[in-house]
Amino acid sequence: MYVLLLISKYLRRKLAPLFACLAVVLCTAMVIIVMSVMMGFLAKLQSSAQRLSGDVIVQAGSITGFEGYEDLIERLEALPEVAVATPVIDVPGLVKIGTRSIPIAQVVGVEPTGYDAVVGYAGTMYWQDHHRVALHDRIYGDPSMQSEAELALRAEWEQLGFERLGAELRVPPGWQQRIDEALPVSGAIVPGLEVSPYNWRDDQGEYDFDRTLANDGSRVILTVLPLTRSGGLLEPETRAFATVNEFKSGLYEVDANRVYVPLDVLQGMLGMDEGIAIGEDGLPTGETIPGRVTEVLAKSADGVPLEAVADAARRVVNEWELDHETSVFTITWQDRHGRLLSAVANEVRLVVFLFGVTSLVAVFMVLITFWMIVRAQTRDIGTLRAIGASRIGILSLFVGYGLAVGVLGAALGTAVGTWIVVSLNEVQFFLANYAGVTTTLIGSVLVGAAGGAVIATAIGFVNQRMRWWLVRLTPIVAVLCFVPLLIGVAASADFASWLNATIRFEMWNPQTYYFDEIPNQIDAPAVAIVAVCAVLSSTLGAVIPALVASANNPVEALRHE
Amino acid sequence: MSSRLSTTNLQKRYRSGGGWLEVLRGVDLSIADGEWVAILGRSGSGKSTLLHLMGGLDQPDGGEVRFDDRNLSSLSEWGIDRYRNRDVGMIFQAYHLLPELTALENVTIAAMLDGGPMCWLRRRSQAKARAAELLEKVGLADRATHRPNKLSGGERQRVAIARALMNAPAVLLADEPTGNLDPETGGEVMAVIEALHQGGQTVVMVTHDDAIADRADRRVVLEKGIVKG
Repeated sequence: MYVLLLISKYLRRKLAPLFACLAVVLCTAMVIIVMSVMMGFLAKLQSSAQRLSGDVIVQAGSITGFEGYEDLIERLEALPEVAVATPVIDVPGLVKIGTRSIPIAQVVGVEPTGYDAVVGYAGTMYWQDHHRVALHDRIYGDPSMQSEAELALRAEWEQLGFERLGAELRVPPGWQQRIDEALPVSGAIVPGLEVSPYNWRDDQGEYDFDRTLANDGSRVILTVLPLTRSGGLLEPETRAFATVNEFKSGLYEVDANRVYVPLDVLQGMLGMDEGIAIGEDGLPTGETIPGRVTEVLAKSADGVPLEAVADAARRVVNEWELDHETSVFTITWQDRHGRLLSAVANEVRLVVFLFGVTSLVAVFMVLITFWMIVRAQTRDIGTLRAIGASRIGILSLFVGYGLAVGVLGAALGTAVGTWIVVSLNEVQFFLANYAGVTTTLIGSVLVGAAGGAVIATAIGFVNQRMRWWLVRLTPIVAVLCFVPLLIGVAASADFASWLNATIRFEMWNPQTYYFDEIPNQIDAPAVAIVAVCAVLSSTLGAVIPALVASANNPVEALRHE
Repeated sequence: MSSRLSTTNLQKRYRSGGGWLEVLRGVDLSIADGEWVAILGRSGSGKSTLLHLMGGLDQPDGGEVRFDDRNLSSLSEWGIDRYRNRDVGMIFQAYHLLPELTALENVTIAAMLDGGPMCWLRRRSQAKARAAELLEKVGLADRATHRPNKLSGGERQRVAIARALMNAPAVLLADEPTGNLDPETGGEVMAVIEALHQGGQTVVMVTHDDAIADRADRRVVLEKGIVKG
């Protein structure tokens, strides 16, 4: 019982264990943050990759695609393991929006309804009705509009482009060509949110549509290279598309490079649509040429494991290949993104391992602290032994002390780490936008206090009233430094903006990483394992000093100075 | 009177430099029940070492210490811990109170060490009442919640006496209990010990002070590691 009493007293009245506790807190929080971000990164990458590919992909051996996809889809959908399948054309193309050109964009032709059923495409549409309403209100409320006619024309134009904000990939019924447009719009397009140069992200992380730059923004010029069935290159095909919405997958690379267009339109552009064969004499032969696609994506039925779906699909595809005398590949979403996913998984393991090893510093910190504590408590150990405490009792006192420090440190570290992980995007946002003003104001207080302390110390050396001067000058000079800056920041928005622009820390750039936000998912079992490891590490650090304490000779301990 | 605590041919040596320092060279001593024995001697004569051996704090290199006819050297480690906790109470010149605990807790902790947590939970209130009673007995009832750094030297020593008595030991072993105190405060502490002795408490006290030794039933003088005369 005395062990519990003394541990509780030591924890409350000793400064040294607080440092050991702080080391445990910092190491626990550090590992939780790193692990959560890295594992969240991997999890988000996996879910995004799956969302973009469906579960099973049947892909053509070449960019020219394959025929008979309708039959393949029918056979796949007949499988109990497959819920739904959809045809896709995935080819490179040149995309031009306003002033921006993307030379090797990913042009994806889809049947919106079927594609949505497989990958949840409709859920990635960014612009919703409330955006359209807000845009309409802004146009009508903008005093820079010169005339009623201009206002009405601009508003009509803006609204038409967003009249249908669904994912149907259909040009709105009321769409009107502008008379100066050389290339007529031949279909609807849904680009990634980062494709357009006119989208920009505001301070809250929301995207906004800058209408003043958007005079041509809803028109997308798409150029693709049609190929013959044998792979021969034909003349590039260029068409204009009307933007009916934009998607946000969360993967920056995809959002900045991919556009969706209707499957039939893309088939037409690439010469992959169904048609009548032309003979050598240039006349129709009467034979029908089937349409082609480059991929068929399939979604597994609920509860069916991925490998079971893939095996069933492979069996069906093999039969289909024989019937159609063609050759395709059947892969899972994991196969398609395997290289990237395994590279990131390795990276996650490596980083977590390295930070885990770094956290051993907590063990040494606890060991050193407890070594010092045992040295400082030697006489108390002697006293306890003199009044009947056993060696086991002394051992359990210090091991228990280490355990208590570990439990306290792990609990606080888990709380701090979890809070930081959950608030990481807000913290990043704050550092990127308000670090300048914040650090300047805090810095002014610290510099002022330090300056005041130096002056007080100097005066104190002369008139021996150092404490008197310290107590007065330190806060006064701190306030004198702080107040002018506070007034400057409050009075001048430009000054505050300049400070925030000059001193900023952007720890996450979505253009460098795959995602536009820092992954911040908490994996509760992993966090629990980290907390348990922290407790064990702290206890381990206390074991050697505890053994030394228990081995102390009582007489020598009582004589210890 | 029957012998409660005794030593026979007790020897102890310590390594000093390259050789050995013989501190006790064969001490024969018998303490009767209820007796107050003062052990005197010059510095380095082995007084404190003798007290530590009798208190079970150290192991002799030769001879034996017997308590109620039990040889301490034959006891297990657990048996020795139990002996220190129950059978003897020790008072030190430097008080050796635990600075984190209050006066009451410093006294109570001796009872906490006797038995496990369940045992303590059963007799917690009884032990606290006894600790409070002992503090009252040594005149410190109003200092029960004070930590040692808020107590004077005399008060600390009286708390140490109360702690030594907590488990009602058969023998009180005091190592120069007034050595750090001024004469007036030392007198107060000695008054407490004297009162205890008059109540039947067996006391073995190491001291330099002849005046204090005169108040004991018997004087034993150590010289160069053996009992003189």
